[in-house]
Amino acid sequence: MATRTENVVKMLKDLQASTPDVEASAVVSLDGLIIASALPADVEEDRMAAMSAAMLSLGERTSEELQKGKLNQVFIKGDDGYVVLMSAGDEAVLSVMARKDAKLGLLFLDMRRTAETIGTLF
Amino acid sequence: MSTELETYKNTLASMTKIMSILAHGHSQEGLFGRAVNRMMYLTGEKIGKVEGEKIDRTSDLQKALGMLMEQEKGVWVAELWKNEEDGDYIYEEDGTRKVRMVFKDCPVRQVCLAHGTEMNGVFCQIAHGLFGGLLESIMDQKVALTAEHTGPNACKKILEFK
Repeated sequence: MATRTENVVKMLKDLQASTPDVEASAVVSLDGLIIASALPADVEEDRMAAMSAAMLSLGERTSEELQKGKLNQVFIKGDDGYVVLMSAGDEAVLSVMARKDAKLGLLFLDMRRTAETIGTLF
Repeated sequence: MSTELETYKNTLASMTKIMSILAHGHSQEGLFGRAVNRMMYLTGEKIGKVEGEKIDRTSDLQKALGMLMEQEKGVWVAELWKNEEDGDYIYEEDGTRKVRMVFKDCPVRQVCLAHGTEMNGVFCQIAHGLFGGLLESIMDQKVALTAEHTGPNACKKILEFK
C-alpha cells in the first residue's frame, strides 16, 4: 500500500504530466519542511520549503490586513517564469514553478484541483 | 571606569536587549507563520557551514564537538548525554541515528536568562542552525539540531544524523 508521501509524489507527477507549463512542484508543511517534491536537482529543497511556507503565511497576513478576504494564492512573476503558492488543506502548501509563457488559467485550475486532493490527506 | 569602557558596556547591554526581542519571535511568527523557525534555522546553518570551513575535519562526534568548542572558546558549553541504562550515546529512532546533548551554556541562553525571555524562540533556531552547520562542516555529515527541553540550568537537545 502506497504511503501518503508516495501518493502526493504521484499527484505532483500527474500535475506536471497534465500541465506541460509546470516545470517543478513541491508540497511543504506550514512548518517549512518538505513533504514531497518533484524539483530540479539545482533547487535547494530545504530553503525552497521554508520560503514557500513563509511566503504563503505572509500573503495570508497581507490579504487579511488589507481586508482582501481569504487568500487564494500567492503569485510571483519573474523574468523567466512564475512561482505560484496555494494552501493545500490546513497544514500544507502546494508550490509550483511554471514557464514564462504558461497558460495561467489552466495552471490555476489544475493547481486548485491538486491542492484540494492533497488537502484531504493532511 | 573609563567613559569608553562604560560606552562599550552600555552598547553590549542594549545589544542583548535587542537580541532578547528577536529571541521572543512573536512578531516574526505573526508575519511568516510557523515556517519562521525553519527559516531562522537555515540562516544559522548557512553561516555555521562557512565558519566550520576554518576547522579541521573528523567523523568522530566527540572529537568534532571538542574541536568546535575549542574554536569558539567558551561560547558553547555542550556535551553528549545518555540515559544511565543506554549503552551508547548514539541511538536509533524511526530509522534515524540520533544523539542527546546537554548545553550548559550558549550565547542565546545568556541573553534569555539576562532578560527573562522564553527559550526555544527564533533566536534559538538560529543558534541551532549555527551549531548544526558547524558540526556539519567538521563531520562532513548532514545533521539537524532541535531542542527537547529548555531550562534555567541547561538545555537538552537532540542531534539527528540525516
